[in-house]
Amino acid sequence: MNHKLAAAVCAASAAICLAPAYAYDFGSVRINGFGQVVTGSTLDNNRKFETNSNPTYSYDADPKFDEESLFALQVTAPLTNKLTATAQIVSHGNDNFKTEFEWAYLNYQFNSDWSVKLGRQRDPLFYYSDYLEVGVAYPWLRVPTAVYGSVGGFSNIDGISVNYSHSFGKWEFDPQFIYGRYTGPLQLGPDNTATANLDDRNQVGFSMHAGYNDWLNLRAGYFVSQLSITNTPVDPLINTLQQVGLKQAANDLAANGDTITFMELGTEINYAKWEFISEYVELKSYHNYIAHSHDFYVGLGRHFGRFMPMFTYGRVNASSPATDETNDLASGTVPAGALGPGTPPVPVPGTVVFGSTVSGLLASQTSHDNFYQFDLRYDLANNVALKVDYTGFNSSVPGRNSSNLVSAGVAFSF
Amino acid sequence: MKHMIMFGLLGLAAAQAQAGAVVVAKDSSLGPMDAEEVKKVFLGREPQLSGQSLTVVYQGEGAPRTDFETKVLGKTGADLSGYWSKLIFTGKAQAPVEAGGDVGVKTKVGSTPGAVGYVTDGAVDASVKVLFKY
Repeated sequence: MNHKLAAAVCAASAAICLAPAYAYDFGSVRINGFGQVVTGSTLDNNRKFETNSNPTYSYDADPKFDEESLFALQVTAPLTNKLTATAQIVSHGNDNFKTEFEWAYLNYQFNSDWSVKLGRQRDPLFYYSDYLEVGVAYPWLRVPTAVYGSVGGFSNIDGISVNYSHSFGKWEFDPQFIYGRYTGPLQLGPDNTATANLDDRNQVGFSMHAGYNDWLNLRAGYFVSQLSITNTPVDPLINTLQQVGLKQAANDLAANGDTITFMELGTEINYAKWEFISEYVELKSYHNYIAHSHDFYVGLGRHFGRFMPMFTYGRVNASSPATDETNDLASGTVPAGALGPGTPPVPVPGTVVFGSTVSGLLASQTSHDNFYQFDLRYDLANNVALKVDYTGFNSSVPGRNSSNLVSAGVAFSF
Repeated sequence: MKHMIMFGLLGLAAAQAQAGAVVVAKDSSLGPMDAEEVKKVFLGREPQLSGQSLTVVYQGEGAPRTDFETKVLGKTGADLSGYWSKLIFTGKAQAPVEAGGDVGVKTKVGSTPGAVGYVTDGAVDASVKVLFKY
């Protein structure tokens, strides 16, 4: 919102007019907003830079301006003394600035410490989940892809969360319990070539943040859910395996309500102008083709007045979750027991064709990626930050060569 | 001569900004606070006090605000702004509202149940109750 518009709105409503970063106050309804305009391109001709992190992004050698640009409004209305309704309406540039309700929840504040949120809200998987898209709230141009790309493209959940917040002396504790479900599209990598349907249900999660004296922040989270992914390029293979009677192998590949666990550990130290941030995540899914991964990043930056340079190294380690059955199949053998109870594994020439497809699929889930991210942030004003970023990427995945991405943007809040 | 008067007035303004008070409406049920509690309230860590939802009222840019932020909150500028962004856009706290100057704060505090603000010492009058002095 530019100042003229803000002034006009203020004048029209005769509300108290406010400086940015504090709520526009229409009676008791609070309106805040944030956004960013980002442009970027790869330094190498014919090289793309893509990930399936959230928000997803994809750059090539010709600069794009809409890929990570976004605009958001957050509206909070008190319904009673303890009950508020909050909506966060976000338009993403790479979705043609279509508006979408990312959050829509009711919050009941029992007392100073306890509250319950009901509805669509942020899934608190990561340290920066809550302000994933609020660029002014973190030092990078974008949150480190190595970790934030680990769960594919979803960040919200429909459900209920119970939140506690209390200080004991200089310590502050914020545990959170969440239960819910997310259904929606999932971008499949490595190059977002396909969109599948994701159903992540019965997610039970617990996260805990502890802060000490404003400079030390520790966080841990653990989440379990049942995951189904349909409409994927893998479906024909799974169907064929099933038709020829290799049901166990088919089951071991398909993500059909399988248990998936996610663990996160985070640290932020903000001391004497230095900023250290690190996160480690571990994703494990059982009885499907999705890789187990353990990813991390470490970043170190320093404030120089309004400037803040930061270097971050991120690493993805994902590996094939082969089972005995898929291993047998990959070696051209009908797995033990597949031809009747107690039957031994039998080499069958006809399975070789499945075998190579299966081993190819599992191999495609393996990757060892490095991200070298250099950022410079400059605070133009209290609520406006200018940022430039260079990210160098290399991967062990054949066909995903190294590439270099430069991007710049302005992030703001009001 | 003109300049000297200006200078004098500025000096006076600066002197007045030296002390201030955290205030609520005169009929508010809220009682005296200590420095730690004031800090918690104005940093959005106390959404309620004695069952009453709080509305935090900041002053517009100027000496009284800088003074309050430096002396009481220990955070100011982009640092404070970033801090609030985190709370607001996580839904962890309600954004504070901003009122222009001492008069604006007194009006807002008087007309909004649960509103807590701060004014310079000289602006304290019978319309407000003082919870803390700094």
